[in-house]
Amino acid sequence: MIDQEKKAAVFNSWIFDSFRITPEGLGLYRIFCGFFMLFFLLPSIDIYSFIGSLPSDFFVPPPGPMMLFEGFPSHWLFLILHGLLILSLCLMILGWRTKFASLATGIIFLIINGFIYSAGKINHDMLIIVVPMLMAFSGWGKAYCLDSYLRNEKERVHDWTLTLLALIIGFMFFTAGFSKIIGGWLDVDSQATLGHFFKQYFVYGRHDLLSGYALDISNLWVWEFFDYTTVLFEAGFLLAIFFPRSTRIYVCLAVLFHFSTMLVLNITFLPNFLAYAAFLNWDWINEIIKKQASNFINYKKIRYLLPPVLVAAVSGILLMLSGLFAGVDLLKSDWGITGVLVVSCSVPIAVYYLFRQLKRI
Amino acid sequence: MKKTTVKKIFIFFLFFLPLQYATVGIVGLIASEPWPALVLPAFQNVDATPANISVQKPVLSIIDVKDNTHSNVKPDKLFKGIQESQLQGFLRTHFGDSLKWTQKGKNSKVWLLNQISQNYPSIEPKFLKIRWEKMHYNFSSSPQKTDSTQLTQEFSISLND
Repeated sequence: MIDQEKKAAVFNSWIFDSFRITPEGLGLYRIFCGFFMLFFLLPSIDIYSFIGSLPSDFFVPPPGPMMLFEGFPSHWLFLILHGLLILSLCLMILGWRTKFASLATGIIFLIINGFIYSAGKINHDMLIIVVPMLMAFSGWGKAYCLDSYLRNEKERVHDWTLTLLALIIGFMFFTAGFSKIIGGWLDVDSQATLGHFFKQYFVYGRHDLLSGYALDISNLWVWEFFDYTTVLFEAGFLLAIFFPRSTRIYVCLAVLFHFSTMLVLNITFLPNFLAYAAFLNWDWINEIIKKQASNFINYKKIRYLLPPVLVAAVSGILLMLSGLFAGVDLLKSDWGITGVLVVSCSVPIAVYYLFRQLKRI
Repeated sequence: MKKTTVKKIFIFFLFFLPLQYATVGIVGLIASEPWPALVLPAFQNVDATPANISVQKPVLSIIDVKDNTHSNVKPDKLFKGIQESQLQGFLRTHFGDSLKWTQKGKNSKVWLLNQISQNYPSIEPKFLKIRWEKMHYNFSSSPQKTDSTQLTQEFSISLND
């Protein structure tokens, strides 16, 4: 009986106490998410004219709800959906009807991506959809938003949504790791990472950053090490999410994992960064900005608004930098400089955070 | 939201996540990978040993009506607008073998002609030739050079009838 109660208490504590966050912290995360999706994760306009022009013979929906449709919608419908997506993201950033705007963002992404993936290839970027739809129920529209200003809502935040997000991320990583185990990644006679590296290098022509040097790594044990660490890291994520500190450590490691993948395989996977950012200490960011601001700003209201303004400014600077670098021919292959910039900027944050977490241990 | 409701949500997800993953695996084996699903890219296939790393690549060329000359075309230019992460999957799905193309109707041919005239206006197309080449590399001896190239699939799409 006592054992049962103990288990229930542990379960409760995992759900409700793992990730404590204030409405201000969640509000900052909401603003960051909105700008991140608006600036870096929206589908390119070019794809709409391509997909919209495809005849219905090219419509091969993956098993699932897209099978209800018989072909691609017109280019114009895509543009309308794109416009609605921008509108819902703007509302999400401003925090007006935040729950509705967040759900709408997820649903519109779901519809647009569903049609794009019905052209023959699925991208596994479900976290773009999961984050706004799950966080819609977190109460991330309780601070730094028009909703709280206009309606004076004082409801507390539901920080259990962060635990649920951690569970989903952990499980999604586990699926990648487990599939690799089944596929034979741990077989010492095969070279999985090397095989995928060759595909990226010779088929996709990804010759940027360290990929040329990677081609010179002739020691097969180095490549085998990559196989094992990838599988262990991905499959191990599921265990990490049961403790808040190990979740945060794993999220930092995930950033470094993406960074190494970017350097060697020239692949960036930005949608995941949207979810990783949820585990930043937004309360600390909020407090430190306000504390610093108190030294030179006397007006309380301006001080209060400074953190969201700074988050918006940082997102804007990142966008400007990616626009600036896009004009310079830095990359030889076809992948975008934006991804390189965002992943590279995340690395110092992840390293700093990782050391802070490890120091506490 | 009540604590008991939240706990029920968590219990639901603890069962739902493995169940949907199992469904992805089973449906993926029978048909193709379902979507949407809470999974990350697996990069499951391992087609590499130190002595033989093989990668497959499509080579597209257009045969001109006027002088029967072959002009190699870049898939990313011919299908301009598609995301680079989707291009190879798109080519495999629709141009993977001749059967996949013969199942398509006349609209598809019109669309393809339109793509060529938009992106390669100087060519008057007679055929679009698709070759799938499997390149083999021997990492142990010379990783930078192709050890051998094997033609796995070759077919032409007539565009002039």
